[in-house]
Amino acid sequence: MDGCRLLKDIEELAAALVAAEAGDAESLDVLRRFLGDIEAAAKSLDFAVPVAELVHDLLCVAADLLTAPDAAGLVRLGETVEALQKEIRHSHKEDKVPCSARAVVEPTQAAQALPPGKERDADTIALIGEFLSEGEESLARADQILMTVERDGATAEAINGLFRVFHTIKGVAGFLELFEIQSLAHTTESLLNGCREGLYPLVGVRLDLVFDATAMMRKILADLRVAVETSREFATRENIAGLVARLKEALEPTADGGSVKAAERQEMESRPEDVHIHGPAPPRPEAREEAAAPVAASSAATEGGADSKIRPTIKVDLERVDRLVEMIGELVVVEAMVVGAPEIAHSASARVRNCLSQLEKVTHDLQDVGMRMRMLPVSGVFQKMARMARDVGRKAGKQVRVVLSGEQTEMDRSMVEQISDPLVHMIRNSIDHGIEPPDLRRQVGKPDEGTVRLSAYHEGGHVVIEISDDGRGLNREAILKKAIAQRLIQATDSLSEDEINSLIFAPGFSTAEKVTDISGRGVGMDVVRRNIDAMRGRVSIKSVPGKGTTFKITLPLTLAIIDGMLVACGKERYIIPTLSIIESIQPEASMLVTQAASNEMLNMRGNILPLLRMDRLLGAEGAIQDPSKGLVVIIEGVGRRVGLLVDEVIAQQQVVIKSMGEGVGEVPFVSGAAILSDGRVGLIVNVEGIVSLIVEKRHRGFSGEGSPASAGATNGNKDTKKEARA
Amino acid sequence: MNSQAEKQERTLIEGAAAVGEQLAGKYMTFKLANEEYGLEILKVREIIGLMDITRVPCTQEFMSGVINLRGKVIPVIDLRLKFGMERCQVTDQTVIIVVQYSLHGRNMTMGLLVDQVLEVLSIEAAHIEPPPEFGSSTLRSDFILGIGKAEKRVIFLLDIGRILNAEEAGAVAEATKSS
Repeated sequence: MDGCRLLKDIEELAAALVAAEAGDAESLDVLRRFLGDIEAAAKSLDFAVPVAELVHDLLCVAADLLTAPDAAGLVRLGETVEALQKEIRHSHKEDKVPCSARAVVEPTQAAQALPPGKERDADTIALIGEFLSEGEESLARADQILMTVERDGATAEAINGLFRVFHTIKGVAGFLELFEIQSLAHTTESLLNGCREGLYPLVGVRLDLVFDATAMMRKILADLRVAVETSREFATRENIAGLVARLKEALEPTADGGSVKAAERQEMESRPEDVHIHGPAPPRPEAREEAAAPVAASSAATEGGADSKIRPTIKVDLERVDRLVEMIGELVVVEAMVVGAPEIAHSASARVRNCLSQLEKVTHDLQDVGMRMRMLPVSGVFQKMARMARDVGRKAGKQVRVVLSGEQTEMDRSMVEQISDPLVHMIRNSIDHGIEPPDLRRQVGKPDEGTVRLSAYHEGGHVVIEISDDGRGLNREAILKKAIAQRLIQATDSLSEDEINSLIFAPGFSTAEKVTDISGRGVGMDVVRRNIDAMRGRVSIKSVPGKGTTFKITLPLTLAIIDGMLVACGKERYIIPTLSIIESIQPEASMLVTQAASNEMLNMRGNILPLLRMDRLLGAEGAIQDPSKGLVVIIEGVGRRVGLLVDEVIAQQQVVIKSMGEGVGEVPFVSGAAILSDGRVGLIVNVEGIVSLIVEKRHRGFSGEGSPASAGATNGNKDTKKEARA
Repeated sequence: MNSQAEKQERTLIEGAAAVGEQLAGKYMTFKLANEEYGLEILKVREIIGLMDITRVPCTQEFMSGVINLRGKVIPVIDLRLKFGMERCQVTDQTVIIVVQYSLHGRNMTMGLLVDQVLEVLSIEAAHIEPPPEFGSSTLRSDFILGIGKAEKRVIFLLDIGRILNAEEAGAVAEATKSS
């Protein structure tokens, strides 16, 4: 602040100087007065050496001038002033103190919430970025604490934790001149301070207000992130003033006068810090550390409460981690090539073989560690869901208890992010459609409070996430009726339980009689299915009428690795994702059915499946042509099964998925590439693509002879479908 | 009339000089059948011996397939087929030139299958001529930047970014967007 004032004084001095040069006698008096100010300001400040020296020079020159005014003296003074201005501006730029020289010259800019996008320099953006990620983390923690408080009542520790979250946000927001955020954080903090001092308990309206403040803060931070990323001016649509007013109200009415004082005291406490933060010279790093310190402290406190122990962590650039994981993948391949090389594999030396097995072990351990680096526990997403369930339950007028389990289950980082959307839709659905209103629940002898369970666990190399509610279960009749009305199925079709359940994933499908603001538009479950498909996962439903519904999502451990079956087809090798393989059989001649000598089918224990030849689909040469001499792999995708004829199944192996490389473009029936243990590239078969080829044909009523793969692909027909169902 | 023709000639010469100025530098030359081609040396990442190429279904003929370049999967283009020449017998001199360039702001790495790599050649501006006009009767030739002369040889200087034509590049951009 003082640095700015000094600069302002000097500007004015310069102006006075110009006037003095013009021979204005009065201006000398003005000059003298400004010099006095500058002298005082300079004394109270610790300036860098060049600035201090210049100020000293200036004062000397000025003293000379004032005792014996002459033109040369004025010119000298003018020069000194100019040099001083330059120096101070320069040092300000180096400091990057938000209160910059520019802000003084154009004072209106400083008044804005945030300088316009183009004014943000790289450092400010970096600081805002840090503030955002820290803020989001600490808000997640605040949510966690709030949920605990709502369930078990407030403890001093919990309130302190919340207080620290808002206090930190306030401090940093103030420093970054995000005054709206600062005011919201400040008011919330004041409210919490009242609780801390025991003026009123943190329950009911006040607890809700803190909930709201957390939610709004998160939205504001999201807006800020968008503003920074698009380098636009920061403006939020949130009604901050409204919430701040409500918070202020909660501070006052029921309080016995003490709370107002507390708020004032709070303000008194916070003020010195603001000044400190806005200080001109370099104490900023310390100020930041001071602001950051409570975060660490509170995380220790709250996490320590929730979990058994806290692990120290560091933040690493994601790109570096990815690069490391990629290189480990390369190492594993090279290792396999070395170990598999005939010259070495046939070596008689026991020492070489020992070393090789050592090498093998170490590389595989390394691969394991590398994979784990990208893994995150699902707890963050789960807590977000618990929070959302609470809000949705309130809105729907239902009492909902969320039970979380297995939050420490780890998943690939990007999947943790991707799973969030589907979970939101499923939980909304469970609460809105599944769980009955309290009076209905009472009638059927269930407790008023509905339960939504969210659990995660590992199962055979996959991650499973389950969402179950104890609501009314799926209404199969209503689903069937609606599906027939929407022409998704025909009235004559007889569907299995699973098939009926999976109808709810169809786009635009909704049995809700009215669209509420929570759900009922029929978009949700379609999104769920598509997101989970994109992660190469599967979702299944179990539902018991009157007892509840369970959604089970099965996902691969990571997006980077796929568990695949290596199959041979002529000279080529392909990888079929194990998750889509139902079984593989060696067909007998009696199982093969042909229609019109071209559409091949497989009679599998009474089920007729279309049979596709992989070599014709993918253009491999030299494959086995007689199905009874090859192997048929039954694959399932999009709820349909087909048989795929291959030469043989070589092995099951985990492969790292790679993109096909720029320049290849999109390839039908192939979803990616992988490096096989011999160093060659193997193509990963796109099961969904192959299966939907059949489904598409059926929908087009078999007029699709012109499709590129139809020459090779045999297709099922309507009769097959009926037979398969019968 | 005469002066106009002279003028035209002068602009042509100046244009040629400008092309030469722009293109002067070091080129890696390689052979396809009896023809010699040059690639800007800075775009060439490495030269690798021929390895197993995995064919990719439903792609154009010149797309030989994909290979594993130390853990990265990159496409390989058979330049002979791309230029409409006959497929050649693989010899011990057949190599893959790995090039890296940026197209529409994306880094592309791909392999080019060629008959034989010759040398790295420094070509001066004076020895480079603009590409000749073949007229519409011939194959596309816009990927030829210029023609370099060294001793008695003629070297076609390639613009690697244009070897994939607009539609192919578009398909690539589309594919990368969706992935």
